[in-house]
Amino acid sequence: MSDGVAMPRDGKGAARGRRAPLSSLWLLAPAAVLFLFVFILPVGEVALWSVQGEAGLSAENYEAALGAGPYRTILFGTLQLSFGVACACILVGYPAAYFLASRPPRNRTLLLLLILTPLWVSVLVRTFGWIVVLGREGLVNSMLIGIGAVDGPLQMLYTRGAVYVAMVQVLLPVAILVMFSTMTTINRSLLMASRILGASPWRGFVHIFLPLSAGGAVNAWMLTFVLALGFFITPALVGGPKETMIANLIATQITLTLDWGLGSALGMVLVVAGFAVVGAIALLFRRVTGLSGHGGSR
Amino acid sequence: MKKLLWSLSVGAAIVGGAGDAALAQSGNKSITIANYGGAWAETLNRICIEPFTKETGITVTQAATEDSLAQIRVQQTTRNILWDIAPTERSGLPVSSKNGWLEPIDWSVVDPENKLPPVARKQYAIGAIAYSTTIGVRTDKLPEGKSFSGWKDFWDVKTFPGPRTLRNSPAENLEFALIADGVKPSDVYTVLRSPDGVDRAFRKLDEIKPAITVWWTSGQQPVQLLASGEVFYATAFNGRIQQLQKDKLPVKIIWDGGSLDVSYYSIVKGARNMADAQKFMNYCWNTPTRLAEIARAMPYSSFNPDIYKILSADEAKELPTSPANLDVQFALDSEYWAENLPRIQKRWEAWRLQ
Repeated sequence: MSDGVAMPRDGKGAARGRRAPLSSLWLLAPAAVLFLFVFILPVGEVALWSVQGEAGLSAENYEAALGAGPYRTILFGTLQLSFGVACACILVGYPAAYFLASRPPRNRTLLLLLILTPLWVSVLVRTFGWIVVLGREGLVNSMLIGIGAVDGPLQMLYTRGAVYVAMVQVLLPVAILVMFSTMTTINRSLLMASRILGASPWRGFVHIFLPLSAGGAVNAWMLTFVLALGFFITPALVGGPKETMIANLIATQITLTLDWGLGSALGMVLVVAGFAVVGAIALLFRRVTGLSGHGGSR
Repeated sequence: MKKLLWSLSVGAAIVGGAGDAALAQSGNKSITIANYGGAWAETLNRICIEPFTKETGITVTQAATEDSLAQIRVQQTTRNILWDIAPTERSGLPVSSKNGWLEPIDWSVVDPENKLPPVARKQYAIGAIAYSTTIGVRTDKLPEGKSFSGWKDFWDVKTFPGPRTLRNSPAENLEFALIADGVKPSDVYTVLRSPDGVDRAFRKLDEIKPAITVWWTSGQQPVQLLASGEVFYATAFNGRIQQLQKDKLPVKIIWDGGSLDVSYYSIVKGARNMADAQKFMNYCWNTPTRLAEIARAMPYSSFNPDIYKILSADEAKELPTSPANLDVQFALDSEYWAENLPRIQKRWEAWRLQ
C-alpha cells in the first residue's frame, strides 16, 4: 500500500485552486507519521491477514464474506440500517440546527451545552435507558395500558424501530453540531437582500439558505453514516436478530471462533463499502449542486 | 496463515522459554493473572491474593480481559508475554493447547494429594471453579398450579406461555434443544456427533424460535430481563440468578439439564514466573478452606470434594458441583466446540436471520 504518499496528495486535492506551496508540506508530517503507524500499518496488516489462506494467497475469506449467505445479508442490513439512521439524523437535526444558528450568539452557548450533554453519558447507559422506557413493563407501555389505549403490552423493544430510536438519539448531537457550524458561516444579509427584492421568507430559505447549508447536511450525513456502520452495542441490546451488525460478526470472528482471516475480510469489506457509499454521495452532491461539501459563503 | 502463526508461536515459545529461565534465576517475585474482572476479581483479591502475598512476598497483579483467547494468541504471535496465568474456558483450552500456547501443569505442585477429578485436572489447565448455565423462572408468571421442571417445559409454549431469552450462541443451546427433544443430558454429545445430530438440534430450535424475544450476549442481560419482566424464562449463569433471589425477586433456578462450564486457568507458554504461578494455583484453587470461602462469596464452586466437608448442606445445594446438582447436568464439551464452532457458528447466524 502506498497510502503514506497518498495522504499529502489528498491534502493537495482539498486545497485545489489555492495551491499550497510545497515547502509547507512538512506541516503535515506529524499527522502523517502518526497516521502511518497507528492506522496505515495496522490496517495494512489486517488486509494481509484477510488474503492469507492455508497455503499462500487466497480469496477464500472474501468468498465467505461476500458469497450468498448470512454474512452478505448482515453486511447489506448494516448498510441499510446506517443509511436510514443517517437520513433520520439529518431530518430531525436540520430544524434544530437551524433554530440554534438563528439565535443570537450569547443564547447559543446554553443551547449548545444542552445538546452536548447526552454525549457525556456513556452509550451503554443511554441504551439501557431505552430498555427501561420501551420495555414490556416500561414507561411507555405502563402509560398506554394506564390510559386504556392498548389491552396488553406492545412489543417495542427488540424491533427495528427501537434500534432506530436508540441510534438516532446517540448520533443526533453529532449531526446537529456539524450542520450548525456550517449554518453559522452563512451570510445572513443575503437573506435580507432577498426579502428586499421581494422574495417570501420561504423562497429566501429554499433558494439561499438551503443550498448554502446543504454542504453541512451532507457532511453530517456522511459522518453519522460512518459512525453508524461501526455500531454494535446498541443494536445488540435493543434490536432483534435482523438488526445484527457487521461489527458484531467481526467481534465473533476475532474473539470466539479465532477466524481472524474471515474477521479481517469482513472488516476490509466494511471499510471499502463505507468509503464507496461516502464517496458516491460526495460525488453525487457535487454533480447535482456544483457545490463543494464545505458549504456556506465565507 | 495457520502455518505462519504456528511457527511464530513456536518461535515465541523458544525465545520465551529462554527468557523465563534467565528471569527465574534473577529471582523475579511477581506473577500476573488475567481474569474477567468484576466481583470475581475482588473475591480473588480478598481470599487468595492478599494472604498469598503476605505469606510468600510474591506480588500478584490482576489483568482484566474480555477476550482471553484472542489475547493469548496476540501475546504468543508478538512474543510479548504479559500474563503468567490466563483463563482458558470453553474452546480456549483445546485451541490454545493444540497451538502450543500453554505450559503443562506440574500436578506434583498444584494437586499433590490427587484430590481433583479428571475434569479439573487437565494437562494444560486446572479447573478452578465451575458455573452453570441454568434456567431462571419468574415464579409469579407461571400459570396457576403448574410447576416448571426443565427443557421440555421451556419448549412447551402452550402450557407455559410468555417471552423467553436464550444466549446468542450455538454452544449449549444445541444441547438444550436435544434435551428438550428427549435426549438424556449424558448423551447429548453422542447425539451431536452423530451425522443427523446438529440438524436435529436446529429442527428443535425452529420450534422455540418465535418465543425467543431476545438473544442475550452479556451475562447481566438475562438477569435484567427477568427482573424487569421482559421475559418470564431465561438461561443465565447460576450465580446471577441467585443474586436476583437475594434481591427478593420471585425467581427459581432449574438445575435439571443445566450446562456445567468449567472455569479453566492455564499457564501461558513463555510465562515469566511459572514456578510461582503453579504455587498460586495450589494456594488459591486447590486449598479446601479457601475454595469454601470462594463458594460462600459467589455461588461458583470447585471440584475438590473436600469443600463439601466444610460447607453446610444448605450452602451446598446452591452450588453447581454439589453432588445432587452435578448428577442432573451435563459438562459443556469444549473439545467438541473447539472443533465445530466455526462451522456451526455460520449456520447459527444464518438460522437467526431466517
